[in-house]
Amino acid sequence: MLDRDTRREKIGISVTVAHIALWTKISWAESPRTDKYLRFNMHKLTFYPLGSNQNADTTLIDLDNGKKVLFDFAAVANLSDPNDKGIDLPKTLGDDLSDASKSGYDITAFTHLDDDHTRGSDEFFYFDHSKKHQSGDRYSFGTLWVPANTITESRNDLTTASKLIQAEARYRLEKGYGVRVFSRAKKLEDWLKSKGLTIESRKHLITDAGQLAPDLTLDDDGVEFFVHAPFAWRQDENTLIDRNGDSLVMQATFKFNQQITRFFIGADVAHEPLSEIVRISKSHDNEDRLLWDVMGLPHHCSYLTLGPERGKDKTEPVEDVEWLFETQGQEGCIIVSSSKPIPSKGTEADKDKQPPHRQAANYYREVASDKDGEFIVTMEHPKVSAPKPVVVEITGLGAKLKKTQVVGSAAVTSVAAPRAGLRAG
Amino acid sequence: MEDEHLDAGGLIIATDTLELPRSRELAAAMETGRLAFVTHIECRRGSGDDGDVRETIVFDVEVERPQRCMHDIRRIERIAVEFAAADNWYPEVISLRADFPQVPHLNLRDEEFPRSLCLYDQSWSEIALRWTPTGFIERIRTWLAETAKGSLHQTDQPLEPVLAGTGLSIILPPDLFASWDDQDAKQLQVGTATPEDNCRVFSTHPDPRAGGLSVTAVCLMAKPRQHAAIRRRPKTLAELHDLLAIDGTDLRQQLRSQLEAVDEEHRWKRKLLIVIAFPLSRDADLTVEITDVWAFFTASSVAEVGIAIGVWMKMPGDQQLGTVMGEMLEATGSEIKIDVIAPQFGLSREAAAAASGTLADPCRTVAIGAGALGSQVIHLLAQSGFGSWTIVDEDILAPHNVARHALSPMWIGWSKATALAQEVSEFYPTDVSPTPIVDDFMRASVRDEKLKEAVDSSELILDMSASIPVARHVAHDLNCNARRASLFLNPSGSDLVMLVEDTARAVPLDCLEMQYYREVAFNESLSKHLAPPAGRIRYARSCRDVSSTIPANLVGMHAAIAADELRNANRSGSAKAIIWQASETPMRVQPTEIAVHDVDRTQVGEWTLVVTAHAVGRLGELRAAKLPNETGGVLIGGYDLSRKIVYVVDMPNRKPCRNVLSQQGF
Repeated sequence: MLDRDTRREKIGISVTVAHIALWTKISWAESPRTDKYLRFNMHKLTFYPLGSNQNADTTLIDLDNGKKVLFDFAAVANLSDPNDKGIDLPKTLGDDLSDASKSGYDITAFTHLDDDHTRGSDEFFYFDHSKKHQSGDRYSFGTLWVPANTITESRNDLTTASKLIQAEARYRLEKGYGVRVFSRAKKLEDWLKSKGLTIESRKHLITDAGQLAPDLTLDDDGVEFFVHAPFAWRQDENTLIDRNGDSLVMQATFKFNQQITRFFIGADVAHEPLSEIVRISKSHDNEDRLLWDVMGLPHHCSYLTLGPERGKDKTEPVEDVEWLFETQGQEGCIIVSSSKPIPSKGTEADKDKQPPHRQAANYYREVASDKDGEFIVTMEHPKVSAPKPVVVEITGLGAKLKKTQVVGSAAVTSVAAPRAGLRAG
Repeated sequence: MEDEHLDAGGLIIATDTLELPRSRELAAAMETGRLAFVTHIECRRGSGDDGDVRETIVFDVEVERPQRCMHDIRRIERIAVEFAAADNWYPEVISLRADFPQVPHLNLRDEEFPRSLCLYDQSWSEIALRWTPTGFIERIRTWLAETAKGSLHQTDQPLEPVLAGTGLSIILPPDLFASWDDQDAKQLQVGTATPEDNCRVFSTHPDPRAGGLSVTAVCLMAKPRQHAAIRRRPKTLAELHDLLAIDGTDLRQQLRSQLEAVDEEHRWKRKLLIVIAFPLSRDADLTVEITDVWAFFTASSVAEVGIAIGVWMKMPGDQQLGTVMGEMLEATGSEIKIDVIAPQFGLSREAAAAASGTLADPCRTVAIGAGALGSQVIHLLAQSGFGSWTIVDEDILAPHNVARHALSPMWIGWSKATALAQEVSEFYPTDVSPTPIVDDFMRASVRDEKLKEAVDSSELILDMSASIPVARHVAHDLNCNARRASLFLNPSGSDLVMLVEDTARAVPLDCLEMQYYREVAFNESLSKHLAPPAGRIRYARSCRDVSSTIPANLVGMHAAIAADELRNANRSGSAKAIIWQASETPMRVQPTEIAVHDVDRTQVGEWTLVVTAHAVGRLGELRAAKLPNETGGVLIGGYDLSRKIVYVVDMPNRKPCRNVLSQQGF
């Protein structure tokens, strides 16, 4: 057997090596692999930028287990107007459902029947009660969540879409399936009586304020919905129906990796009912049910959510509302205003009675800043000229606002096709 | 609260006076306001150590950040990007926040602050091709976002090394230390791996006569640490001690006992090399996931290091050392300079197998034939940790062989067996070296004691001689229980044939050979299998000195298939017979697995009759069909006249697709 050295001699490589003298230092890049991320499972909230000319609300909740819960549906954008930066909501939601291979939602909640929470629903959803609204391209509501006055109130100013939703909710309640009605108002009992039914016979479809909606649970779905409003006692005494006041207000509590994250869904509630919610929750030791990490601002950033006076540059909240925002809001919180862009001081829009109000926005900004959090306006995110859906991911690390750059993808992509043997420089 | 920012260096300049293309592009992308989440702060110009122009863009980025961050990343982070005029390295990305945390994937710098972000795992030349300012900013934002979540370093990604390398590496024998607790100092010769001036790789040799620098190597294992790289390179032994002390390792104490054990004759002559294993854990529970190994070269002798850390005192007289009792607090080792070298351990059989995604198999194998196919098969198998080899071949490597052989031209004139054994032995030098037998196998198996011994103790006898007499000799004439296998190419080299016996040798190699012929005879798609080669070349003067023209790529491809299949077949206990046919344009390989039938052996006088179960079955069928008449017909098979064996493999009701009978003695 020839040894290695003999072979080296044979091939002309000297075995004698030089004294080590070379100790050069070169900079050296390590090897992060930032282009390859694990896909984390999560819950997800999506707030849609709906229109440049009209405030509206639509929020989608994607649960980690694949269930989808939609809060309100308002396709208010004028798609033929290039200045309207609002999205084509039916297309966006339709694409999202087909991507998920779903024929509809697991739950669709309408917080109340105002036009800016229901517009276009008549074209999008499949209505069990109406043959005319059952074409194959429609999506199912799943379980329909409505406040009690959706069933009971009879008004002439409802839009076609709102009327259809009302009729659908009534149809389902009468038939005894696929609906959840919030609060057991006297009027609801009367309505059921007029149909020859009793509260008792529909008990399983009714949930009072102060309770959890039983359709989703923390253990099975990673979320539970606590009902704050409408209040049954209040509605009993309510002769004049204030729909915003009686709209659905909820707190969603998400669990992921044993960590809790809370989302307050404000609908269109004003400071008086909001204050009542605070007082009632305190009286029932339910303060936890008013903690929030993500705030879906009531009424499109209206000052009336905070207090009676708009203020010059900042709206001052009434005491209970201040407690809700400043004490119950968590570190790193996200406040979302589903509204048009906040007007600049002195502009025409700034003088408008309708929200969003600059003064209210200034208060929310201050709250967010104090908590190292974010204040986001749907029609301003990520920029006013090209708003995109506001996405909040909920994981074991709490809520996180997605900040995706909106430019041509080629400008951002910087990953080459991999080849075997490639290594870092 | 406003974050405190560090100075980005250089002087502030107007954006429109930027000169370097990338800095201009980056500033322009920010100034147009088309990018969300980024705010331009200022531009600066300075010069690097080499006098080269450096331009720096300072900006704030908004980070996508969860409520509860794993690392202290702020919603807004101030970043400076420094571009060099030469543009031959990554632009340096620096966090200007004075208290930016220690996190994974920071670049090693001489100073700890400001911290430098390591963005890429590809070379700058790759990145530069596709660099866009937007993509670059997004890369920075993603780095920060993932760091905030604690997921920049993926759960499926190996842990980050403790130290960043210096570009120097040293190749140590794989079995240098018995374990990380090995207290015995090792003597090594160290030299540059090549005579080139800029060689940064050092090879080692255990033989003190090998020349080079004489080194004493000691090893120790540090206490487990949660993976977080050391961002400042230790420059002296004292600094290294301090870094290890953070995790509770007392370097000086551990060195003391090891140095005291070094033989006196080595103490002044040999430089000290310290090899330290850092057990790393991913999480705080300190469950060790990998062990990161680094070598620290002291460029000082064992004695000098010992004196510097208070093990010994220099005594009067020539190189006399006195042992220090107790601890000398001032002896920290601060005067001992160290350099960081990334150690690599020489290939072991296990490491070779792991690199191929398989397990090492030291199957004792006698390989007959180290020709074009044989050499490449042996090479591939050995390279991936298979086989303890005895290689038998009587041929000398001739120039024309090199065209298709695993051996390089430097071995011309050497016997193929010797040369191949030498090459294979270098794959994993600490393992048992292959044994070359330079002889004709049929003769050597009778007269060569070394071969007889190898055959007796072998587990596999692999015939790659391309010779039927050798294959038959292997099948019949060796008195051992090893499994036999045959690998050969068809005449044109387009097809590969593998015949492997079952472990019990129920269907021996010669019977597999006969069943292979049957397949060739009856399988229409194999009609060209035995066709003669298109061309032959004469390589010397004798009339027998001709060789087929078979391209090296074809042999290489078949060798690769053969190596893989042989390894698989050896793992399973059953017999295998497979033909792989290559067809050209586009190159495609079609496998045909031959059904292996059991055989029945009957002694008829001095003749042995071997009939396959398949033939017996066919006979039965035909007889049943013809009864009460005579069955009649033709038996297909072959003869081994020298051993007086008759093989019957089939009784067809149709003729073979062509006449292979005469070619193969059927």
